[in-house]
Amino acid sequence: MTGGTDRSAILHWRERPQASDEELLAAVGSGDRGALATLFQRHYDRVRSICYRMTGEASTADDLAQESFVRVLRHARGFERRAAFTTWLYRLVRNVCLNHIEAETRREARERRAVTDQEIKRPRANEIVRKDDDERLAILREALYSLSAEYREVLVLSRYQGYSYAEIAELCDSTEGAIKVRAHRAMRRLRSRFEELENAR
Amino acid sequence: MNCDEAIDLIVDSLMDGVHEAQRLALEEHLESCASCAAEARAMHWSWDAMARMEEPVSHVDDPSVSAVVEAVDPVAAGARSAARVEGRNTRVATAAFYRRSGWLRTAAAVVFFLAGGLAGFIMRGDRSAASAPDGPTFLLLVRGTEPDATMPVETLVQEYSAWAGELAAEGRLVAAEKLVDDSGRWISGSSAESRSRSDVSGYFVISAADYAQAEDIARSSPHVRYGGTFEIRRIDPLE
Repeated sequence: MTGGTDRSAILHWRERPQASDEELLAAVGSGDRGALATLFQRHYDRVRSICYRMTGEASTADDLAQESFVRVLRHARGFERRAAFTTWLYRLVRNVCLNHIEAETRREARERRAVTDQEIKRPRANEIVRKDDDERLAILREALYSLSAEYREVLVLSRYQGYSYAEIAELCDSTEGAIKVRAHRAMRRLRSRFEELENAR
Repeated sequence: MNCDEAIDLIVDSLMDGVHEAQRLALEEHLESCASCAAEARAMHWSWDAMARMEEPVSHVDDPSVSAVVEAVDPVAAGARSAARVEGRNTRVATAAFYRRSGWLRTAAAVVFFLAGGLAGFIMRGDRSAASAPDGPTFLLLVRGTEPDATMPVETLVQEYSAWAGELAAEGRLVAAEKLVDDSGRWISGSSAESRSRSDVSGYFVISAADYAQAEDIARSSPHVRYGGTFEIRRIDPLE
């Protein structure tokens, strides 16, 4: 972490192509749009990928990634250099994703309550279906997106971003021990949900 | 090593890494425990399968950085002055980006204003008048964007506040809500009906004597003044 926030904030980003993310963010905070463009270029794909893996919906991921950068812009001035930019950014992305998932969960619960009465039990096919790899992949996907957001988050950050328990703890403002326990539970839950769903077919 | 510990170690070996001694102990356990060995295979399969799950490409039509920055920028405090200098072309491009992508920031000021101040207005208003207006009520659906609004968003929010504050003071503001900036959901019994985007970003319910007065109220709003659209519908009192 380097010091001198004030100084870097007044230097134009174009003069420093090697500017760190933190310096660029300080420039964004002082109204430099070019700095935001550079941060966007550097981080958009990763942000969008996390949003996709957390929600499983491409168009939602686009919206949430955009919303994340809107928040970067809005909160740039509040950035304190206690954390790395990537950590700070992830926490924004995380809030955006978790808020979305929470709202979706509430909405789905409401809709479920509304349809319970008129739900028709569909007859289950008796024939034995060979579960090829594609089908098992689809079931696993369903299992992954039926997990709570916290469980899915640990799996997503590890599997798709390659973070260690310690790094995930830093991103999620938690402890390594807590993340380790969460990972154990998340993986067990993924497996048990997979088996439930597979048996239900 | 018991089975619980073994499963924990399998997870650790996939997600974080294990020490050599732990790896050997795990292998030893797996050789003697068929159920844990099966679970280990299943977890490895799951882990590999997660990597094979596809990640669809972005649906955004034009994810170019300049367009994105232009689209995001109205939110930044006071950052519009540059755009004003760059002139009409930038504004047209920005508005086109909003319409094309339907991304977010439809009616940025409505977003800010409704999220923050409006509940207060309704609460502070004349409670009896607000909750049970005597006369006709109208639904104002906030549609579209405000392509002509190029001032800082704070100014726009102030204009909204003045407009809605006046309505509230007159006891005309019955309700208002901002909708989440997503594509929503479309449910239809007819397969011919298929849409993916709505341009409705919020609504107001106001009381007015007739359509003419409701239109006047809508027309006096910053949303309409800056190129946005209201759909006005009279609410059926069902009497």
